[in-house]
Amino acid sequence: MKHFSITSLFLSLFGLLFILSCEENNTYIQSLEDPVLFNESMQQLSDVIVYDIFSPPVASRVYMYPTVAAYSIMQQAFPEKYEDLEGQISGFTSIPSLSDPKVNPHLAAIHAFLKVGTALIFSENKMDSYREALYEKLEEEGLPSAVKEASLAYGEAVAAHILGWADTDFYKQTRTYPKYTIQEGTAFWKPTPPDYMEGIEPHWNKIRTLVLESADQFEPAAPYPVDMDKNSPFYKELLEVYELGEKIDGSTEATQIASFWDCNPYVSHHRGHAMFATKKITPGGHWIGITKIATTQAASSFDETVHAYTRVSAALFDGFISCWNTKWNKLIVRPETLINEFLDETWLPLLQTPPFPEYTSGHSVISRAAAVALTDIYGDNFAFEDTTEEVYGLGVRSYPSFLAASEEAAISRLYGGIHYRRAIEEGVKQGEAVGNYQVSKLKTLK
Amino acid sequence: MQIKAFATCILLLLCLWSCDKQTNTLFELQDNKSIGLEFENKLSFSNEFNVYTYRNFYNGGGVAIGDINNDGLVDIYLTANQESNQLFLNKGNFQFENITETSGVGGNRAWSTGVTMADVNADGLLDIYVCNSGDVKGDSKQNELFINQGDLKFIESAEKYGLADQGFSTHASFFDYDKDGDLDVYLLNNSYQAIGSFDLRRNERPKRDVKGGDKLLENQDGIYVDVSEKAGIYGSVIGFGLGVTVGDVNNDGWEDIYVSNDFFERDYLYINNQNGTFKETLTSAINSISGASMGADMADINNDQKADIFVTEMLPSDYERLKSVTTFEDWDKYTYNVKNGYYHQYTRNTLQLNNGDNTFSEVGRLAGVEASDWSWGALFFDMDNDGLKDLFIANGIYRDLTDQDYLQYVSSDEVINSIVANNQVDYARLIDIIPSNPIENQAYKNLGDLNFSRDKNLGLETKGFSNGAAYGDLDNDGDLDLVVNNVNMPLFVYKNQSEKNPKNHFIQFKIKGADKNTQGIGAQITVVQEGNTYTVAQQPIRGFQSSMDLKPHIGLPSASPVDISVLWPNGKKTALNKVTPNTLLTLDMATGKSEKPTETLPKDIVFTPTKEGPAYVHQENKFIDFNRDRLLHHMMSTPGPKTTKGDINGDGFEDLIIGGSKGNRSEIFMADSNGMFTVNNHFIFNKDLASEVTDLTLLDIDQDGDLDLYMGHGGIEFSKFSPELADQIYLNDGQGNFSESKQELPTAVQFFNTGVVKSGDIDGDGDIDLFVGERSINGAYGLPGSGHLLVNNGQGVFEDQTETLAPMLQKIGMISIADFSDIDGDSDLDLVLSGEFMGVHILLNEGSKFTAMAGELNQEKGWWSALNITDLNADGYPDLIIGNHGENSRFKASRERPLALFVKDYDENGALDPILSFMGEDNKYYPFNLRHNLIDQMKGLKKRFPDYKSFKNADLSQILTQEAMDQSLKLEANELRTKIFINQGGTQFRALDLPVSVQMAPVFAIESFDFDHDGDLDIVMGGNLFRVKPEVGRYDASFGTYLENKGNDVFSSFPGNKGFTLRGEIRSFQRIKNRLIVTRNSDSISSFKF
Repeated sequence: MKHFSITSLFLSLFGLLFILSCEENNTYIQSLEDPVLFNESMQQLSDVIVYDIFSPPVASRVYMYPTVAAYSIMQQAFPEKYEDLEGQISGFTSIPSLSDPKVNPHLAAIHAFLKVGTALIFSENKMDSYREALYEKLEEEGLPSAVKEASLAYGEAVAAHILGWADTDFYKQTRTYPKYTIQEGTAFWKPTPPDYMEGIEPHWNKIRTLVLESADQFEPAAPYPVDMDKNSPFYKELLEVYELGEKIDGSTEATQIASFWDCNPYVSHHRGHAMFATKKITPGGHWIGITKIATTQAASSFDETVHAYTRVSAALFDGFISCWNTKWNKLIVRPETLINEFLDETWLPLLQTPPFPEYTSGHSVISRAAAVALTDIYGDNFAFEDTTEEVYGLGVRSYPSFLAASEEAAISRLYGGIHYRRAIEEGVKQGEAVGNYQVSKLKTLK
Repeated sequence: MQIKAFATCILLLLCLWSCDKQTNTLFELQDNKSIGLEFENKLSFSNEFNVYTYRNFYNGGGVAIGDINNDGLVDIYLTANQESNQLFLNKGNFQFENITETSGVGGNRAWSTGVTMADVNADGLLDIYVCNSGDVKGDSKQNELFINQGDLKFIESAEKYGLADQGFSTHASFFDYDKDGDLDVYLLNNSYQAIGSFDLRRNERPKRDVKGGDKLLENQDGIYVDVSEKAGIYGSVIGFGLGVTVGDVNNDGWEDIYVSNDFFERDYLYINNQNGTFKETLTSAINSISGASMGADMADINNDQKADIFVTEMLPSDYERLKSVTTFEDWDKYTYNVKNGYYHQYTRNTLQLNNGDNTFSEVGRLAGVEASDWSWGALFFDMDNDGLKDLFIANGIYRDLTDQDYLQYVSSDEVINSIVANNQVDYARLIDIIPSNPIENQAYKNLGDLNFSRDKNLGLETKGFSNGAAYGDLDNDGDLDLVVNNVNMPLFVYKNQSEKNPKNHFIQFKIKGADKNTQGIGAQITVVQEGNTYTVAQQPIRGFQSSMDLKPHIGLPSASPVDISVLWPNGKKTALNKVTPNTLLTLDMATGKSEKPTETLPKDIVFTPTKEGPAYVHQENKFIDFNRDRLLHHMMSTPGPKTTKGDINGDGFEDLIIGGSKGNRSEIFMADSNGMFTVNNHFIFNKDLASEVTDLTLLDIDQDGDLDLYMGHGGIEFSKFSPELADQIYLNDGQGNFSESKQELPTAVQFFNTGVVKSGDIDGDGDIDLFVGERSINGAYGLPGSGHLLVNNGQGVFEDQTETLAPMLQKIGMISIADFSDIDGDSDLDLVLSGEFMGVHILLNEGSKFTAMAGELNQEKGWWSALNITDLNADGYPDLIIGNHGENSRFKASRERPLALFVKDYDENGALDPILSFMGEDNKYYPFNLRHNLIDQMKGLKKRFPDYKSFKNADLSQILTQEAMDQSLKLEANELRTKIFINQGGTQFRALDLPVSVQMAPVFAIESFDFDHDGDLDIVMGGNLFRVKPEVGRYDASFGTYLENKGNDVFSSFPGNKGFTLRGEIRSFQRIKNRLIVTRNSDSISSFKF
């Protein structure tokens, strides 16, 4: 009797399941088709980068590898549309080929993206819980376990492949290189108030470039020699920063521009022994945000979205290496240091001075490189509303084009009191060169 | 039945035991309600007024104890920051009555801080001066002076007396600085300006702040007039004063001032010039100070009649708090601060031991009182009436403002969510989420010999948020009771039960002043009992924002009669002999008599500094070890200058050669018949400019009858492939002219970092052989280096015969010291060597080979750093004087709890990770490095320890994994004390007890000689190490040590070292005739005649 009842229960449950599966729930397919899913995953990565406080150059690395993982799977899925990156980017070999028909390439791409991302950030649990929630939702939407297993297995294999490649980029070794030893002399960069943090990533030029042949391939023109003679071009630049800083107050648009593009991952606020910190996305993160806006506005498909992120993160990656090579070779002192020493003891820049040398402006270089990449894909005169910083209370700004946005990002550093004009102008040229070189060398679309 | 009875027994026993335990504490916490002393400093914050808008929001209130109605019972006044202050009248029998309302002393200002009881108007009644602060925007922060009307009523009269100061006042100390018979006041004000708005390069110290700033106010016929500028008192916007302590630090009868400043400003030590002005002397008197200095106290802690100074800071003693609420400045920031005039400040309490020569030695780490968490009021008083002043430290911060998780993760999320508008932050919301953890106050029993032992049995370690505290004999039973003011918690009142102990003795003084100083503030009382001297001063303002009982108190170890002498503030003296203790004795300033100044006795001097020495200033090359070896705590690159001596030109006088640092030439100084030295203008050593000389020795290498030179090259600043590491021989032409030898030394074939070079004829063949020890493997700190025996073939050619003679020298350790000596008395040279994380190795010369001597010394694993082998007791067997790290350090080691260095490339990135750790109470190892330092070295750790909470109690096996730990190279240190080992017949060694002053700093140079010409060998030692990470703090307490041989293996030290006293990092001694020549790193050569 007992036996019977249990068996019958089983049978009826089975029948129910059968009936349910007959009314096949396929919403997961639409979900996986939707680029929103990739945008959200990218957003998750950005959020953890902010939480974990990655410096701008290291953040660019955390964006690039997961994105290339996703791209490579898209390339496998759409070989007629996309080029393999082997032979195009340093040290990269083709990922395992996609042969299992059960694999959903979008799910595999998401999985590889999240797995590589998780390996590169610190707060793994934040990535894990996001991923688990995502898969749970997809399963509720009918994702068959066979598809899931196959896709994840493939994604996993690709992630391992990409991480093996990432492991040889000299990141690990550069962690053991000496810290920067502060140089005497007015011209040399010194740590800046309020925290006098040590210089960030003095050996970033040792990181393997992606498309560039070397870190110093696009060296900008030399900075003006630091010279406190009142007639020297350097002094005039210094004075410009100082006088602008005096003129700008909270109400001017320049202030809004500077704050909007601040993109400082960690700003500490001291109130006696009490402190608190504010965190923001990095400059690279801001352009990842703009990429999301562009792909959405252009109604790009899932794979086109991945492609756009790939081009942008590649530009950011090489841009940072190029710029950091310049910074740590030129070792130019920040305006705050000299203004306090020679012009005005009480002067404070509008933005907190970031902890690395001045020349060239990182934001100028990487914004331009990213804008060139986006222009190549979506064309010039792609007007958009930049909502990236809204979550940080910094409002929305509109731009007629990516290049216009990059121009504003560049000049914002002058308004912010953290760069001289030349570092911005030459930085834009440097970014343009990096961007153009990538456009000419890196073939992604067939 | 039986079981039941047994259980009852146990229960009873437990009860008895626990009851017993309750009453066994020296102090008993009172039930405030039953004694009528109910008080709580309650705080409430808003979005407008809170710790973010007013940085001293959680600094708390103070306590004043004094007899306001002259009934012989001391009363208590308590400040509350936001609510009314309260006055409690002592009714006797530990009963109090709140008379705030009727007496009119509640106060009307926005925020009260410190309180002082003083008879300001000299009418014989104690008045109450309350400091006010906190009102950032408004103007309700004038200080209040409640003038005692004699009928338990007070009238606020600050304005009338010129004492209604508008600054952010913390406290005030009344004393007669100019000895005109009235009470002047030092007013401690905290700056108006926000932290974070300062560019540190702009040192504002000399500029007076018009609004705030510290002030010295002179009492001019009852009106207080600001004389700060004229008197030389700083009063700038960078004065963040939290403590003012007045006392006579140089025993000239005039009171001096110590001001402890919070944040980046250094403290001030003002010496009274005896002419109405002060000279600020901190940097010449003191070497290291507390960083964010809070409260302070001044008292004679070792009964040597000199005032010592203690300053509180915020370093946690609890491991988990250290790892979750603490950060330290990095080397660059520390250097930057020093460069800009903020001096050597450290995150820890400091105990400045008065050397009696206008210098202090900072011995907080030696005494074990450097870490007590977020500390405020510290008080030295004799809790148990044994004659030694014990230490109480009030601790706590209502919100853990520096909680690192809050700072790095929680606050930023919350800020994002709580932005109101225009980037404004909702502070109230932010503050709500800051953790709040009550912490224990700390009480240390003074055991003598600078040994303070934290003792919970004193009964004072209640958890809370304590700030100001004051002691006084509340029940007139001859011991000091304690009152502690807390934030958002009831007051702690502790009754001292010393009177129950029959060994308890004391003498208290009721001071009758004169003129307008009715309490005799500034009187110095000296009590002598059975040859022991005890001192106390009439100075009630101590600790933090508080005012003590105005009856000076001395605890005594016996009841035998005492002789008393009082030095009154007017310079007169009163002497009372054969007074029976255990009484309250009235001392009247009117009895004071003028005394001719006693003739100072001729000083007992052995050493006299002389200018007749080599004129040389050592320069260290700029190299920051920490930029490459990130986990090191001490720089290894500053071991020089080393020296060697010998008659190089055969004129009968010993000459001196000094080894140069990298980029700085080594120098030869030629001695003449008058004992004068002239530099020999040679060029040969230019060849070595690129190298660093780490040791050098003169010896006749080629047997031509003159002294040749072996120059050891090393230094951590080179890569292990640098040819600059190759050692070099210079041959002497007999006239003192050196030429470079072309011999390729075995030590130059494979470059290594030479640590020590010693010479001796080890094989008895008439020529001189060498030992060369490897200090460390560059770039691989922790890996063992090798010792090399270089045997001379008689032609001056050396062959490395280590493998056959002494294979145990290979990879023996990080060798820093060695010497040859006949240890076992068999007439050949044995080898003694040691180093960092090494035992003391004795290799006995057996003719054809060396064998390791068995015994205890192998197990004495230290950070050995200096060696002198000499027969101290003239028994024919050479003894070992061996310098070590010392005990004035954050690092402690014993056989039971050794230090361990675990070495392995844990994250497999090609670089070794040397993790220095200590063994905790649970016998597990814990790292010294903070989370972010370890992550900086091993990035992957951040994944496993994503926040401070997960890291703060992780032991090394959790951090590195047990498996990795097991695979590590593990080095141990179990002995950090400098030692003398007496050689007992060449087979056994016995360690001597040495004076504690020997252990105040690492020792890098030792010399022995009969300096006092009494026929036995005495010892000088020198050391200090300055280039040290801020978290451990530089070692600078030594001014050199002189140990006089008293016979019978007793070595004594003396205050003032019998004239051998020298500031700086001593690196070598050379004795040439009757001169002791001392070299110091980055400093000049000093010479002493003896």
